[in-house]
Amino acid sequence: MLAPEILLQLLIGGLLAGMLYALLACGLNLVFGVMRVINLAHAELMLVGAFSAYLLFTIFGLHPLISLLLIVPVLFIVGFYLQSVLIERVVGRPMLTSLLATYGVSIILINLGLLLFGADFKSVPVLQGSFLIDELAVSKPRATAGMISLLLTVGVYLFLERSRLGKAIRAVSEHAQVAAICGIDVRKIRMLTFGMAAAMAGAAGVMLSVIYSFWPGSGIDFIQKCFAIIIIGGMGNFLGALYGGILLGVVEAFVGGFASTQWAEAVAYLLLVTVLLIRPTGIKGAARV
Amino acid sequence: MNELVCAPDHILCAWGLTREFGGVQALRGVDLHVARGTITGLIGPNGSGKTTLFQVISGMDRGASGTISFDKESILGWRPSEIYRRGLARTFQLSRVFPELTVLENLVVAGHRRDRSAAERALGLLERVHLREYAAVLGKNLSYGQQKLVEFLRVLMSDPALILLDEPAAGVNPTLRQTLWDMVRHLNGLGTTFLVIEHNMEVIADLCSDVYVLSDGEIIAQGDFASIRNNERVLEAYFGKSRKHGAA
Amino acid sequence: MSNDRQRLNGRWVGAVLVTFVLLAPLVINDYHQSFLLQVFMVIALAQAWNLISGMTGYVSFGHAAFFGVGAYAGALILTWGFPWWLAVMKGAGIAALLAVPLGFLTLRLRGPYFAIAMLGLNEVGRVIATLWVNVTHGGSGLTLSPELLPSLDVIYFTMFGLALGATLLVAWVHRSRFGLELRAIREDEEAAEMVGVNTTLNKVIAFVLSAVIPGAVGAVYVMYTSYVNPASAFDHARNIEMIVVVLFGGSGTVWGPILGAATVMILRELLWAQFPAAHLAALGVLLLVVVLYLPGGLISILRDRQQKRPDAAPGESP
Repeated sequence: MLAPEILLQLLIGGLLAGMLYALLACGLNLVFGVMRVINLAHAELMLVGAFSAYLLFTIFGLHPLISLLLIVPVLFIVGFYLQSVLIERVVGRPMLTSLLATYGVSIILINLGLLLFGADFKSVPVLQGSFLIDELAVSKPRATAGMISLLLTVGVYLFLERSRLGKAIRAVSEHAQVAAICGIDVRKIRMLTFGMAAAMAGAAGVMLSVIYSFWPGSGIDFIQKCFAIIIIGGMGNFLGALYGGILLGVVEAFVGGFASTQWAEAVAYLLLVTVLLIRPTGIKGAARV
Repeated sequence: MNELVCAPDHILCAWGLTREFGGVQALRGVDLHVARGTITGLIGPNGSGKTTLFQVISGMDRGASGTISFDKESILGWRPSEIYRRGLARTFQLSRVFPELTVLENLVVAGHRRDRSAAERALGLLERVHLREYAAVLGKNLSYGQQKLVEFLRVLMSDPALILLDEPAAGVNPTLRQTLWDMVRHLNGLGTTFLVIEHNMEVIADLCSDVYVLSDGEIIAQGDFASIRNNERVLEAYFGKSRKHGAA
Repeated sequence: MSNDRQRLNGRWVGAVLVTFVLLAPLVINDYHQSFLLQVFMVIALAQAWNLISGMTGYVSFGHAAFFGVGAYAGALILTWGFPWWLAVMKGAGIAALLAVPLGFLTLRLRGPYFAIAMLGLNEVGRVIATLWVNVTHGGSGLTLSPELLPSLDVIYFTMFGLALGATLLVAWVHRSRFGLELRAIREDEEAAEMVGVNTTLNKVIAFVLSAVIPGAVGAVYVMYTSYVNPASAFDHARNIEMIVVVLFGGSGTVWGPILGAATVMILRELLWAQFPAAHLAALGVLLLVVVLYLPGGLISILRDRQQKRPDAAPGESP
């Protein structure tokens, strides 16, 4: 059917896109794992990063990879305080409450974005061109974004596995009560986790700005992708989200290549619904960690 | 072919009930036969699988294998609501009264859909346990003991033939407890069969004509209380637990 | 006692409002009539959402999809030359047709997962409307020429009829056995199942009822705007409005959605009719406030003032 080079092209494109998705989804998953909160505003936090990169570029001419160094810590702080001011109040309440609350935050962010930036698409087209490997053209922006996303994701993973703080986070994620008894300040951990997730989202946003064009409403597609990824990979399972993200990227790429880009957009939703329904414990206890 | 037939004087028969949760065997081939019109006890140490057994019989847990025959019908795999409407009801260990519904609504919803006199019957039941004036109170505003009583009344609304009681008296004060057991006895006199999980051996000794002992997912003994009490395996299962309850 | 008086008061208020609405077209101008029309629309949508989310507890994040489906169905019926009331019926019918299988599939999921599954529904509708060019004319949408459309008065009264019908439906469900079972499901679905409530059937019926109304409303709306395209039919703002209006007014009640709709629409008209983004941002803030501080909505404030809990159990603290 299609030549192997094209298939390879699609595969690489899919992998790179998937790495970006993975970075985003892992952040969302982390928050869920630690505090059982589903943050519907996660994709909007990503857009905060994207629009920040855009602003810094258009106003100060700052290269997005440099803005990254600014945006990540700033978003960490934003996430940290968002947690303490808002999310803390819905932790422990039924999940629907946190869904509604974060939905509210997402609405506010989207519309603030519309008020500030309008509905036009923006982007930060600093990286152009492709790398040539043998006969394969790999787009530079995608390669850069993908690689950096992967690095960040793996970095966070290593942090969670190796460092003391990371272990504390994992402890809270497994059993918050027991962790508290062991002397871990669970509240601080939650704030830290949300900060990290926001930072990851912001980083994903900067990467996004380099590859795609976006507008304040772009988040809706991305949150769908995140949910699909998390549910496929297992809610609360960090590596699961990493693999799931890459998988989604690849599937989308192939569907886009063989069918159309419109169908590719539907992939995430279709996967999501299919997995949710096929789960053996479909009735009660569906989609548990 | 091994024909598993439930004797006509048995209302509930179970053969080979097995239930596994991710490597842990909660039930290992449980056989159980409850005779009509009796109050049968189900005892055993904590974690032996008693509540799991109830979950399986009542249809809430549909992951078990084996056979269950209730009133001559095989009910394994049926939905809980179907089993309830067939005449098998159960209560929960921790009260599951509907918090935002009134006591009356709690009872009426458990009655038959087309029963026009459901409200009257409900009030009648409440009268029997001196809770009539609480009819309009929201479930969440009752004391725990009152909730358990209401939950007990709730399953009576459909006139079940067999009621599974899961520690119905736990957390209830002595007066209400007595009311509860009196009602059980009264209903039993009218023909309702009971299968009761209890830790209080005095109650078991007093009420139950037949007792099953479950330990670690298996039935290790069955018979009247006197014979159970001196059974080696039973004592072993409870070894280390306080035997104060063993005294009649 | 106080419940009956409440009901009587409600009936009086209702009667006054209905009279006002019926007579209004005689005195007010087209602009105000359009405004009322939109209020009715929001009320109807809100009550529909109330039915599945407020009363049954299955919070749907993508219900506006049924509106979009109804809008397109209605538009197509009109372009094919059929009368407007058939368009409304078709809108409702198609929505119902979709809701049945969808309901059976998604209502098996627990609360948050149902919400997530429904979240994307609106988007899916939009994408399908964009891609199915043969039928929907894709992104350019369908325009309806004026001779196909009924007058503003007809649209006004139809929309009002839908709002009234939706409200009466919710009121009936509230008092019926069906409503009792729905509330039991909302409280504790497993326990409801345990006492004989056929949870699946009840949920699906509530879901379908809650889809039929937006379907009809969508068809009527199309007659009002005289065009339909993917963005307007599957507008996210509608989703947000449905949710926030009901939660703000008081979910699970009869008057809550009406109160919420009226308040939100009046505020919108007064403050930012020109700035849809500001309106939506305000809704977001409202949602946060309600979720964090006022989960019972406006109705709960009014209720607390009225009743000092005369039926609290003796000795119990209210």
